[in-house]
Amino acid sequence: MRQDRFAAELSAWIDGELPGARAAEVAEHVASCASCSERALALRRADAALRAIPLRELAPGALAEVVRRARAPARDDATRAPARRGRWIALAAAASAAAAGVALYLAVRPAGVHPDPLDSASPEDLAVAIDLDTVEDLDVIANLEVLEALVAQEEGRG
Amino acid sequence: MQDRDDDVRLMLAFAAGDEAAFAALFERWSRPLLRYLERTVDAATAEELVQEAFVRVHRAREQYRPEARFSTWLYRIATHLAWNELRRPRRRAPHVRVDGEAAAPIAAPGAPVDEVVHARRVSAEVESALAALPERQRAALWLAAVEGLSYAEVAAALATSEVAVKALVHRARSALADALAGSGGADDAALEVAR
Repeated sequence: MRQDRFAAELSAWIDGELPGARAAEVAEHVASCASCSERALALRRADAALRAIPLRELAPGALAEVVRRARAPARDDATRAPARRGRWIALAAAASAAAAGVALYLAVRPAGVHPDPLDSASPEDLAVAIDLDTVEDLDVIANLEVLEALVAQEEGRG
Repeated sequence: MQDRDDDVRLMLAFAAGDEAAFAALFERWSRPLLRYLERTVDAATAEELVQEAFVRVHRAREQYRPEARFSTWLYRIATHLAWNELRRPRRRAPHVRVDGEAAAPIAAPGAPVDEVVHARRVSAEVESALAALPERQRAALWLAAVEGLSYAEVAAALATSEVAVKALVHRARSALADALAGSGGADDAALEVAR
């Protein structure tokens, strides 16, 4: 039991995160316990393996691209990742479709009947619902203006 | 400590309009940040996120306050970006190098072929064991063991508590050590125990 208690603190001890008195206790124990000494060595080897992973260079021009984007108007971000821009367009289109669907439903629904909206939802509408799960993604918040502009554009076409 | 003070000095200089200071910060931190992010997302996405993190640093320069290490702030931004990326539908898989491209530098230049091959195998085992960790454990261990952040700094970077970081690092390091012991990867002579 005593050994387990020390083993659980080996990692914090290695990181120098134990209070002085406790760190000294662990150090003393490790020096006299073959099992904990071996375990501490294995943990340090794991760290060494991580640190041996080499650094890699970024593509040439990365700094210039960062500065260019940073100085550009914020909405320039919409052009930096075509895949994401496509996602916004798809989301905006789906939102428009959903809005149209809701309007149609409200116009034609029989009085007194209130079916579960999910029963009649199109795949596109459900895609919107799934995407809304990512609302906590700050990109969504940061790009709300883009989304609103795209939705307005879609509505303008309609 | 010198680097810490120097980072703060550079960031404050940049906030005052010195673009060369920003370039120096990018030069110092972009590659370590790329190495960190490549453990969470694929290589192309990691490069994109490194750029995005520095774009945000650039734009937020006037809000920067030297209350924490620059690296803690940078890693917090990058971790947030990476975890957002992981939540995206159809995200690209974490990058696990098995082709030996990244492992080559572990073996000394001009090393015998069998030593190079062995180093590549070990690197693939380490990457595989690391990729198997839950993302929070992986991030906590990396920041503490590789980047040398204190638990308080890791907690700030990951927006969690020091108690949680202590548990995350312990679990991650134990799991990694067990995995490497099982594979024999940690016995490799090329892996020096630095401390």
